[in-house]
Amino acid sequence: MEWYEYVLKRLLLFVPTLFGVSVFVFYLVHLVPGSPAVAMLGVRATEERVQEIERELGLHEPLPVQYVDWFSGVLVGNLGQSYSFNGPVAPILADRFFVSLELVLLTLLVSLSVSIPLGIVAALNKNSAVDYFSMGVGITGVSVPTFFSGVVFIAIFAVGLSWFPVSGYVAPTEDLVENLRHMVLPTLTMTLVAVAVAMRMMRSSMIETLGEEYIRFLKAKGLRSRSILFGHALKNSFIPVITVIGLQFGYMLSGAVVVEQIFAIPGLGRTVLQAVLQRDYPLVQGSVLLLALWFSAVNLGTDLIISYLDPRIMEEEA
Amino acid sequence: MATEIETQQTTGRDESQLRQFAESFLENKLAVFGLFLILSIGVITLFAPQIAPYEPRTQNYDAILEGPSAEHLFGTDNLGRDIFSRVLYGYQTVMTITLGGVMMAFVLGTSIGLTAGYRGGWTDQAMMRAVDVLMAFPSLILALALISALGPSKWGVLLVLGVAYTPIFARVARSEAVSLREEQFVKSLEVRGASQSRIVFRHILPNAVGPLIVTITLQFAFGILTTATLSFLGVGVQPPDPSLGRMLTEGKDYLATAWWYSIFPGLAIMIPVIGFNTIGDGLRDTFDPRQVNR
Repeated sequence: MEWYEYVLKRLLLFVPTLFGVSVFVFYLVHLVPGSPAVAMLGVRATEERVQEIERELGLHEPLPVQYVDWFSGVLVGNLGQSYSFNGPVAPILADRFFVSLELVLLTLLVSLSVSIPLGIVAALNKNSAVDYFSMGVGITGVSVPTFFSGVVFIAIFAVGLSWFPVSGYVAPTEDLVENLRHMVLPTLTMTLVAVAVAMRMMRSSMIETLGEEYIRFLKAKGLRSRSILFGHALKNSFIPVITVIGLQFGYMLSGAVVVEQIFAIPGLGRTVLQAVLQRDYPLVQGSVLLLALWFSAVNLGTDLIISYLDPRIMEEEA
Repeated sequence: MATEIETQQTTGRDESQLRQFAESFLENKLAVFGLFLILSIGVITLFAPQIAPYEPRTQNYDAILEGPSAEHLFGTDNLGRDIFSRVLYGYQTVMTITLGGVMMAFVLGTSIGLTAGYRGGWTDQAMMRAVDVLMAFPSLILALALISALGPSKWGVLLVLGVAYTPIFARVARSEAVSLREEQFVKSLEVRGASQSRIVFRHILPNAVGPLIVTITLQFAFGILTTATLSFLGVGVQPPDPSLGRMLTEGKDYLATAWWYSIFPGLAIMIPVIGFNTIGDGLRDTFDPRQVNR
């Protein structure tokens, strides 16, 4: 299979997935027991107001009609009205997307620059102190609840040492230094998990690569270990790391909900949570849809990059 | 990824293989440590009412926010309740939910995956596209979306875990079924006219058991974390059910004055998660020695 064929195939498969995602998100409102309008407004709402909301949501129409109405709105960026924010959903999400994007990118930057070297060193010195240390970091990182590490970091670095603010957010356009100061603890909290996942992957893929036939051949040929490492092994063990970036995105977007909530950062994750707590269904639908789209687009992107770098993957999947 | 040992036999394993497996697992000290943690937590969960020195809901206004002492091992909270006792009962809640959720996902996901992988063709396509849809959501976002519809409750969380983890079991089971379907013993069963469900559940399932057990163990770790996270966020276990996650939410307001209020519940959540993660890693190495520490 040629690469462009593979890309085409994956893009074609992406269409039914997106369709399924949109149906799922649309149908969420209809899973609500009783009327979603009553759920949103509370039991003391007047009959008039309930009917008004039901009309607004188009709940009296047959389901397929409702879906088409809703989805054609989504396609032109009309995600409905948020009741808790008293305004259209789309612009709210647009603002918040960039806040979360900054958090995710900072986390990715820090976690990769820690986990890649640590993973390599651990793989090269298997069963050494460094290796055990990295294994410890790995197990701890995936076992500490994000909310717990966040709370502990606040206790130490914000309440105890007062190095960083306890919570809050400053836009980077307003004051970049303050923005970064507010981002340190949230990033650190997210990084803990991200490092653990990436480092374990880096370590195991490096060990696997070093054990392969061609590396032993290069050694037998008398090539220096440094040039084997940097010239050959590293390139091939980076492929799983790209997979990890895709994988981490899921953890990061899930983690963002918790971290943004603890540190009061107005990102997408906090928006989903608030929408759920307020039973603001149009906002739930919009933010869940955007997060799913973001996540699956990144996954698709990383898969395509990997298949370009390592064509064998296309054959395995076929 | 079936090892030779697994594919040699259609059902069951003989004793020597089991012993070999146990020996190889027990060599992994970290995994044995994890097993020890989980067994201890299991005992604590089962006997919480007998072990707990206080009733978890009893408030005592003479002992508000007291530090750890012989009387109150983990101190007391803002209502004078004994944190140690509440942690023990919290384990009951989180373990019940996680056990239920993971088992639901295991049954659903494995059935879907084995059927899809064995039958192939359109069945496979349709089932796996449905799985793809669920996989398109980051797990916590999927959980929140479902909770927004179902409403926050203990059973809501159980159901959410069941749905959210189904795709993972489906993928693992499918890849096992796809490789086993071509094996000689399956072919000969087909020739002898064995029914499809018999082949799938009596012959393919036992041979796929290794990777599935690894998945169960690791999903248990995730499940505990997710349950606690949802409760922390206020959309999981609701009062008066004791919950480790919610104790942290309540305790974080007292960080500067009463650190024990949030630190002990936080550490308590970590213990079973570390346990399941190390067991999962150990089992994976034992079942498939080629994939070291993946």
